[in-house]
Amino acid sequence: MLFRKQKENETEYEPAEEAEEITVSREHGSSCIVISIVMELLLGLLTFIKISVDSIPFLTALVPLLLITALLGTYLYNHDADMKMFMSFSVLTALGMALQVLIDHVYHPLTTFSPLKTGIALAVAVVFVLLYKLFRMILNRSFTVYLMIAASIGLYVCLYLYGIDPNGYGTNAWIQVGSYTLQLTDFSKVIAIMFYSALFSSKTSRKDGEILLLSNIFFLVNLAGAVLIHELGSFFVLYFLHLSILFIFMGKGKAKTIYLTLLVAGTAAAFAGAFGLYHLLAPQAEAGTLNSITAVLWPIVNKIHTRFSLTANLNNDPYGAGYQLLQGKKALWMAGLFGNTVNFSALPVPESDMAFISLVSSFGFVFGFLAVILFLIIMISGAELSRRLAENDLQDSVVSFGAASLLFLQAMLVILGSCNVIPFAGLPIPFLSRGGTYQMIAFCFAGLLLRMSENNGTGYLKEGDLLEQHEPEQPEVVPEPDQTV
Amino acid sequence: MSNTNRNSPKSSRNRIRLFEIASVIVCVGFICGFGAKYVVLPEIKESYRSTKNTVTYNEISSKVIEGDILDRNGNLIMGNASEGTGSFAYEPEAYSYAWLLGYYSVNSSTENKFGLRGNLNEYSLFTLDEQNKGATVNLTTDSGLQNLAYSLLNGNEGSITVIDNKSGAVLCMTSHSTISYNVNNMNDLLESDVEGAQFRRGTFENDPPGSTFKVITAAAALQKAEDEELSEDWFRFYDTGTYIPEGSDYSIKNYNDKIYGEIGLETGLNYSVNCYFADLGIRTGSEALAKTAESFMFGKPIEIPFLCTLNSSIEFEDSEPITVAQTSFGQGLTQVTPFHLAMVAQAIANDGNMMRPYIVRSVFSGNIPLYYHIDRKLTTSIGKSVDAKLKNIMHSTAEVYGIDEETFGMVYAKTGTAECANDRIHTYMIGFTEDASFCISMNNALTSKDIYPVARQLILGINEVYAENN
Repeated sequence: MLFRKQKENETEYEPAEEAEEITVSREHGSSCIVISIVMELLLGLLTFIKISVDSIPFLTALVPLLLITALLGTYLYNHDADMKMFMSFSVLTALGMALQVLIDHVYHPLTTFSPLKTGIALAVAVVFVLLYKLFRMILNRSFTVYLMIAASIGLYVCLYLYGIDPNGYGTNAWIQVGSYTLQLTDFSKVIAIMFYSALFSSKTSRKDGEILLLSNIFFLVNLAGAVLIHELGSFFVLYFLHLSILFIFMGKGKAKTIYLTLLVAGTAAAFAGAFGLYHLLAPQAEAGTLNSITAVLWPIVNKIHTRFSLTANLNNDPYGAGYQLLQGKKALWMAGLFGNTVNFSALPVPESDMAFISLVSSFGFVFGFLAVILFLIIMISGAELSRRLAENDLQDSVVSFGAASLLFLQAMLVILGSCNVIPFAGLPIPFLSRGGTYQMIAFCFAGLLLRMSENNGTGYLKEGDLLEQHEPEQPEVVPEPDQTV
Repeated sequence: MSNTNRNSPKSSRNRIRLFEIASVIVCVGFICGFGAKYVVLPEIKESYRSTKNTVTYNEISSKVIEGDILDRNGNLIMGNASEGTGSFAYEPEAYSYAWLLGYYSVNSSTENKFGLRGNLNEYSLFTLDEQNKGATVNLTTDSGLQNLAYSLLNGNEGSITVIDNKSGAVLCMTSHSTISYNVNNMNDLLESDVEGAQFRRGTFENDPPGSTFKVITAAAALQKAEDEELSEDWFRFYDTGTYIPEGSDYSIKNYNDKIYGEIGLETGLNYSVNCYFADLGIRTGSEALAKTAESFMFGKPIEIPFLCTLNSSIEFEDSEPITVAQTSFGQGLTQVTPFHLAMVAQAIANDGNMMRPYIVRSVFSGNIPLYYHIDRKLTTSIGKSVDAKLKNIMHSTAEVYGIDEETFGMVYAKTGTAECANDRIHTYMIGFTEDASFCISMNNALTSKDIYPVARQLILGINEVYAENN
């Protein structure tokens, strides 16, 4: 009744706006499928031109990819899903696969790209989307937020005890399962979305104070966990998610304003403190006289200081901590519109953290900027979907916004970081980087967003299982007087 | 803290919109900023291009194998590079091509480049195949002719340019200054600046054209006569050895104070009679003269891809008779390069059509073509009928120079001696055979007659090149 009441008080132009969006989506839907297929074929051709027979893994994978694009695209088109979002996902997936095959040829990283892993990730995502109705039921329970906090704690404890660092990235974010390694920190993002979704569930109306308290506990659990396993990159993504979701979905109020202000100010103070602490502890670290507390703090403040110093001036440590970014900068200079032509291959971690740089270096700024635009389309489409869903169910709105913004935030944090615009956080870029776990999660988010966008953002409501509980809250479309005859 | 979460959907929607706007700003800002810095500015701003090239060169300098440079027959001019050493040229090409090829290097993070090697670095150094070898550049030059031309300069300051009549392809462009260098010696190259040493006279030396401009004046007069249906008598002039333009007290004299009496256009050009052309120019008018000069690209930039842009100027100032008179016989304020004069000859040779000049025929990376020149007309300088008349006169002029038809074939020519700043004398001969056009430019020759023997040997060389190809 809460949303219904507010809906009645709102102006009547909004439903008309929705109807317009539906028309736009249908008009351009088919061309989005065509563009996706053309882009995938173009990437196949480009990859073949660049690395000839070594492109066979990508060309082989292109066959099922084209089929999936055509079939899934047609299904989504017929179900009035957001086709621009679909186009972005499919082109980014193809771009990522082509890039990874090219990386194997040019940079010879330790691992080899496996299209099979991408296939498995896709399959898991399909299962996830099919089962999402069940997850959604759990999210409506009041205990779910506590469950998610407990899951977060469990995840970090597990990583602290059993975490490994198979690639030498300086963080114990992986666990070994048989012969496979799983980057468990990636699941913290899924847990976060489920947490915020449950927090804002319309079935469990919470007071502002309760929301702030619970979300803050969840936030602090993640902060402590990140510090414990030295994985600050993922935490930054969660930090921005935390800020944006509270800012967007909490009602106006003094408590919210004070909390968000304190959080931002506290963050700035924490960084300032870290710098101060660095200068304080540096002599002790050099002399080897750190005590038990400062020995824990030193790696963190040192990491923060190094990252910020490098952003300010790469030449502070060009052949040490700054080497990766310096090589990235060289790659950017040499890239040109269609990729470097001097066989540049001295790029550290090209398959993961530096995937955007290797994309620009291999395919040029044209494709680099294309990737940024596609991430932006995902963000805008997800946000628009969230805006539409906010009319019916805040929980779905939180999920769609959370999924889109997680993909976008992580992508932009790594892209801007690898280009040394902001301090660099070593994370995989959705769809572009190698890493089965994160790709699986990215596909799950993508599938979820597409599923929710069906019937112009009312996909779940039309299924009947949720219609009942939300029926009274359906937006009432007030027809124009001259259309009622 | 006691309020229930009563956020309205509209408020959420508005805040989401704010997030969307922020996302767009971040992405657009990133694309604009990085696109400008790494893509646009290196194309349009020299400092950014230099930074890009320096970064690239420093990265590849130890592994790159500089691409080969071949002449029109596939002969290696410069090549045999190994990793990081740069290409090598053997004698005589090491000297005869040095002025043309130039160099590319990076010293102390500063890019230094000159000539074709400098301008072709995008291909020969920065476009590598699987073996890290740069692209192969195919020039239009004939190494035999280039070496001959270089030997004809005989250590004197000057330049020789030869252009194919039909295509505008440069067959030879050699140059020499009193400072000599070897294209294989990078230290020598870098020690001397462009003005002092790497001075490619054919394309850089802007001086008055001297009597070679009389060809332009003749073309303008012939065009006027054709347009206004003037008779042969219009071309008649009684030469007294001195000519004072109306309204001036400046007296124009013929070379060696010679007096020719009543003469026509052919005699005037054969013997390069200054007084005749001063009068003819004034009667033709500055407007018609300027129009014809412009149709021969005087005052307009001419780009030679990968090499340079030729600049020239022509001014009639106030159109006073004295200015028009001086311009008409090649002095005044006109300035032009020897290469441009060769193009004037090429236009007359090619029925009045001036072709776009070029020296790089193609660039290949393995079998993949990266660049291929397609012959294109630059402009129509004169009509066919005027061109035919001019050819006749230039042919008889060549005979006067002792370049007879029996020995040299059909040759057309005109010499010129320009009085330049600082009492320098610049002597030219422009001309063409049935196949190629040329401009011989000598800085220290006393009279144009000093060029005759050089021209004869060059023409024989040109004929030999075309005889071999046919």
